Amino acid sequence: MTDIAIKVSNLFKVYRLYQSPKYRLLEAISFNRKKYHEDFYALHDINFEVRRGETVGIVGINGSGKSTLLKIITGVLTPSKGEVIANGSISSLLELGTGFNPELSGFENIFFFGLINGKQRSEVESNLDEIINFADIGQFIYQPIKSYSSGMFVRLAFACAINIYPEILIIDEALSVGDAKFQAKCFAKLNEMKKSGTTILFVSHSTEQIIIHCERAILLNYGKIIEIGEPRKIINVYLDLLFNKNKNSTQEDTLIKNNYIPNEVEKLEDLNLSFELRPFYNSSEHRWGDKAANISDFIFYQGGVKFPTTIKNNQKVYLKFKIEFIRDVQSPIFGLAVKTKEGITIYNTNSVLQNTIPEVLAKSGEIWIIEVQIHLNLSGGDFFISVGIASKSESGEVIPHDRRYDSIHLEMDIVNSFTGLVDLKAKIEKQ
Amino acid sequence: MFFFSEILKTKDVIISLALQDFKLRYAGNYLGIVWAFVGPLTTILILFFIFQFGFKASPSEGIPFILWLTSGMIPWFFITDAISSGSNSILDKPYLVKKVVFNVFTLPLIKLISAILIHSFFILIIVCLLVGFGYFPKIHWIQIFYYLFAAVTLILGITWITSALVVFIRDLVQMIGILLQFGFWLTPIIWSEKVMPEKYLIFLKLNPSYYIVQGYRDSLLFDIWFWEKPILTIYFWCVTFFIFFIGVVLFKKLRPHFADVL
Repeated sequence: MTDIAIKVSNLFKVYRLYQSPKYRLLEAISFNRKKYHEDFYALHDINFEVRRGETVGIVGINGSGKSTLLKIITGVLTPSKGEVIANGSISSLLELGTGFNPELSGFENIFFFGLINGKQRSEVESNLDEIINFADIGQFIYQPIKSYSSGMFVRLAFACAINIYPEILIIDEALSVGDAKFQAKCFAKLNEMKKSGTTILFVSHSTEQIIIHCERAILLNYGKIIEIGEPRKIINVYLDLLFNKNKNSTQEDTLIKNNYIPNEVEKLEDLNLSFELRPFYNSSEHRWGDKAANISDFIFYQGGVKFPTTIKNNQKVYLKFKIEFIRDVQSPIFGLAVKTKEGITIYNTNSVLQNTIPEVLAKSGEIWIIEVQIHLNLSGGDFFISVGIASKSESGEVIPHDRRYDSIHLEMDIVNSFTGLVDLKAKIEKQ
Repeated sequence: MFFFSEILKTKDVIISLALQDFKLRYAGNYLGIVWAFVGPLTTILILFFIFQFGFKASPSEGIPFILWLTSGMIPWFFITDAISSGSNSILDKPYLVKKVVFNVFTLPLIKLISAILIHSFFILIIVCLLVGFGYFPKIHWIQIFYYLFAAVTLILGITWITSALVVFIRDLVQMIGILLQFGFWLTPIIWSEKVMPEKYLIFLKLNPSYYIVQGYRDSLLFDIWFWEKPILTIYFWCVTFFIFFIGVVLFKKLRPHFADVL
C-alpha cells in the first residue's frame, strides 16, 4: 500500500450551462460535437495529495468549489478532466444527506445504508446498538426519515458513516447542523478514527474546527487552489478573502527600501533589528497591506527582561513596535489582538478605541515607536499576537497598511491557580 | 459487457432494494400492497362485464371469456407497470445518484424485479382460474417463464433508454403514459387478432408486445409452442436485442450527467 490516500491531479470540473435541459441532451447524444453550452469552471486544475492518516480541511467562500471537489473524490460526480485516485474505502457525508431513503424509518435506513455500502446485514446488526446510541435521537429512529429535523438527520448520517469503518472519511459541512454537544461527540470520534489511521477530508466554515483538527488546509477560491499549508496560515488568508475582497496587493520590497529615509534614529534604542529575526516571531504569520507603512521591528519586555524564556501571567508586559512610514499616512491607527492557538480572539483593541494616538499626518519617511502595555493574564500554553497599522480613507473605509496576523508567538508559563483561557482573578475565601 | 458482472456482484443489494421498493410502493396507504392487485383486477372485471353482458359479444375464440381476457391482460399489466415505474426509476431516487456511489445501472432493474413480484401473484391468479374452469396444468404452461424472460429483456432495454432520457426531458413521463395507452389498443388484448384483415396483420406483429401477450395465451390456452412461430420469434429477439443494445449504450453515455442535472 502506498503512503498516499488521495491523489488529485489536474482536476477540472466544467459545468455546462445550457439554456434548457433539452440542449444538454442534444449535445450528449450528438455525434457532430456541436456546442450548445457555455462553460463554467467549478474546479480549475486542482492538484494535491493527502497522506494516509492525515486530516485535511478545505475552506473557501460559498461557491468556491469545495463541495464539488468532495463529490468528485467520493465518486458521485464525474470530473471533466483529470483524475482522482483514492486508495481505500470511502465513506462520505455530503451536504445534508447520505443515501438515505426518505420513506424508510431511521432504523431501516441504517440497514439500507449498510447495504449500499456493501455491508452484510449481520455486520450492520452487530453495530446496530452503537449506531443508535451514537445518533441518540430517541423514538424518532422508528419514524420515516422525511419527518426528521436536519439535526436528527445529520446525527443518524454521521453515526452510519463512521460505523462502516472507512479508510477515508469525507465530511462536507454536515456537522455544522448538529448542536454543540453532538459536534463535540463527533470530533471526539473523529480524533479516535484519526489515531487508528483514518484519512479525513472535511469542509467547514468554522475556522476553529479547521485549525484544531486539521494538519493541513486547502484554500479554494473560484475553483482554484489559492494555497495549501498550515491551517492557521490558510485560515488567515481565507478570512482576508472573506472580508477584504478588494484588498490592494502588497507592493514589492525594493520600493520600500528605496524610500527608506531613517530619521530620529537616536530614539530607536534597540529597535534596529527586523521583526523576522526576533525570538518570538512566528514565521507562519499572515502579512498583508498596501505597505504605505511597515511594522518593521518589535521588542518584548517583562520585568526588565527582553524576550524572557517564559512569560508570566501576573506581570505587566511592555511591547514596543517600530513603524516606518513609506508614504504619507493621515491619522494612523495601531491595533493589536491576542488569539488562542485555535484562532479564538481573546482580546482586540486599537488606538482609535482607546483614543491614544492623536490624529496627525505621518509623513513619508517618519518612524514612530508605539508602546503597548498589557497584562497577559492568560493560562499556560500557546497564544498569538496580531498587530496592524491602518488608517481611514476619506469615505471612512479602513485601509490596512501592514497587518501581521499571528506574528508573535507567546508561550505562557503554566499557571496552577486556574484552568481555562483567561485569569479573571477570582478570589475564593471562606468568611 | 462489464456491467453484467457488476450487476451480478451487487445482486444481494438489487434483491434487497427490489423487495424494499415492493414494500414501499404503496407506503402510507392503509391497504398497502393490496392496491397493486385491486387496480388491475377492477379493470379486468369492468372489461369482463362490459363485454360479457353489455356487448354480449365476446371475442374469446371459443374459450371462457374471463380466461381469455385475463391471460392477455396480465402480461400487459406487467409490461405497463414495469415500463412506467422503470422509466421513473432514476428520477425517483436522486439520493442514490447524487449522495452516494451507487451503480445506477441497476435502478431500472430493481423496479423491474419489483414488478415481477406483483406479476407472479397474477400468474398464480390465472392458474387458479384456469384450474377452476377445469383446465388442468399442461407442459405448455412452462412457456410462461420463456415469455416472461422475453418480456423482461425487452422491458429492461426500454427502461434503460427511457429512464435515462427522462432525467433530461421530464415530458417523456407523460408521453410514455400516452404511448402505453395506445399500446393497449394496438395490441390484441381485448380484441382478437382474428378480426383484423389479413393484410394488416403484419403491422400488428411488428409490435413486440404482441409477441408476449399472444405468447401467454398460446401457452395457457392454445397449447402452441414458441418454436412453432419461428419467424415471429426471430423478429422479436432481433428487435429486443437491438433495443437492449441501444439502452446500454445510451445509458452509459448519459450516466455521467445524471448527478449534474438531478
